[in-house]
Amino acid sequence: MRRVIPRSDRLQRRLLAKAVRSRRGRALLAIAGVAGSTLLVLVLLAAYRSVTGGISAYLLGTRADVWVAPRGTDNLIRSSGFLPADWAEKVRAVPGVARVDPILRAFVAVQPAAGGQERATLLTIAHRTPDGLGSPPLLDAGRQVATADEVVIDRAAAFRLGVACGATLDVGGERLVLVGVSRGTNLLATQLAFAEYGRAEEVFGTFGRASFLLVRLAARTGDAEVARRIQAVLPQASVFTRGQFVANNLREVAAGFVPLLLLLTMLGLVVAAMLVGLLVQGLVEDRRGDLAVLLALGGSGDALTRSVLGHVAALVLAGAGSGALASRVLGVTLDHFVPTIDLAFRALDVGVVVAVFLAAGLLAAALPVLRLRRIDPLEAFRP
Amino acid sequence: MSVLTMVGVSKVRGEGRHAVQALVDASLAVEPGELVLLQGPSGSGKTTLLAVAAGLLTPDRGEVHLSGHRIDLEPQRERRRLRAACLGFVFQRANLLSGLTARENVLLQATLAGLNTDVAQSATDELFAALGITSLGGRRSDALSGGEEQRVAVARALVHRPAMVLADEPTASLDGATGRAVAELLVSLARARGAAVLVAAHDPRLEPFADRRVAIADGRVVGG
Repeated sequence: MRRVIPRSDRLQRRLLAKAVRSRRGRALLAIAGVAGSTLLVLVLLAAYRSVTGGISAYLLGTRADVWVAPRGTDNLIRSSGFLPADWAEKVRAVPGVARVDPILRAFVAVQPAAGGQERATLLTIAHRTPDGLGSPPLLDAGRQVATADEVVIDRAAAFRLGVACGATLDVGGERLVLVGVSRGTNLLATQLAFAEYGRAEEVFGTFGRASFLLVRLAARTGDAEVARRIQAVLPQASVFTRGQFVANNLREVAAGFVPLLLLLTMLGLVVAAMLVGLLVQGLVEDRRGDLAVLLALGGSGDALTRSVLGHVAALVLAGAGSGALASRVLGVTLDHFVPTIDLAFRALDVGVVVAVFLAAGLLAAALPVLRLRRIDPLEAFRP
Repeated sequence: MSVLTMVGVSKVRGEGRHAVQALVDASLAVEPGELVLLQGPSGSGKTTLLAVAAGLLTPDRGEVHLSGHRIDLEPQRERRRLRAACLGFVFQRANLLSGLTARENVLLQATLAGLNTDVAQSATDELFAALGITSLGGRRSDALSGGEEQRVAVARALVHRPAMVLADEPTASLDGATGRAVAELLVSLARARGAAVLVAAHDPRLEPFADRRVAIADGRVVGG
């Protein structure tokens, strides 16, 4: 049964909470510090989510159910080997396979053909046209590559290069017309570009070879079973279901990103915890006389501790909430003005970060609160 | 029955080389509605006696009875409850809580004593009117003058109708006229409520109000 709190208890709690409140300037400083730390951690998390979200979105959007890679290659981001392109015929003959398309991938320098200082090295995916597996799943503007003279690049890359649809680009020494701008293809360290397969063979000098074979299965066919069949036909290749391949790519991204993310998250938490600890320390020292009087008048140490911890929780929540709000504003602003920095904020991340900051703040408050509990009420009698 | 009875109370304060015999076999009884003036020089043990009476210090020897309870034998939680319900405090400097308004300071004491909100509010309003400080209710305590602060402290000490008020040099930091006015208000309101008052002071302005004077020197009570 829900306990009914007498009104006098509520009044007492309200008054105690007000009595132990820290000075406004210090409270604002602590809120700003926690907000800044929260923003830092959320931005890092959002950048991580953006990269993982980008690679997942692309891999899931290619409509490929199985990926065939050169032996020793298990992801799209870091690979250098090639497969004989005519292995596509062998794969096509495997029961359950509906379609097979080769793609080429290579890092290629891209710049506006009209000249200028801007230059970007893009992870270029060359796919069959029209509508080949491996083409960008989501376009922000324009259309897919249809001919050998066309290219699609990620919107962040377009922003970096200062180009829009219709512009002519120098792609690895070839002049191609920008016909589309893709979204969800920003890996932060680089972005994706998309070109026609045959033209890429010429540019890269990779005739008869493919970086990957993308396989589309017939309806109601199990991908694991077909992957096993393909592996049996091509023992020299590595074969992955879509789920496995996505996981491999996410692992590759996480390997470089997560340690840095954890380090900076820890630093952010430490800074926030120190700020909260200092605030509570200052509060206990500032209000020492008041706290002694409260204890002398009959106030309980437990009630005072609860009030101080409640105050700390309110400050941390205000700070973390402000940080979360600022991250949202920053995300929208960057998306509009600087799409190069792609941030993907998630509500769950915000909730977890706020909870972690709250726990860190309360932990940091523990030591000063212990000092509070040792205050001698006799101090109230000192003139 | 006495509100406060102290029998053969001794207390050493400090440790080792700094140990001081603050109270020596001190005995004292305060009757309901009585105003006892505890007089003695600085360091004579006045404040220690008040602290022992309030259960803030535990005597090394002797007994302390407050409103029928052996407060020296009670656990801290019960002592706190007894302090909140049975005692009012007026300190040398008013010691109002700086984050609260004058009215909130008084309301908080009332809620600590267990008064319900309506009773607490009406008792506070009544005392503010009696003390002539109704207009100060919404002011933060750090915006009050010394005399105003001490008036609010008197209201805080009496709002929950305690059995006894412990006052430690309540007029020492006030000028002559203000000190006298505060003393008059404290005494008249306490008497009107039947509260006993134990005042530790060497301010002669309080002597005319005392029913009884008790001297203390080197921790020994004379005429308790």
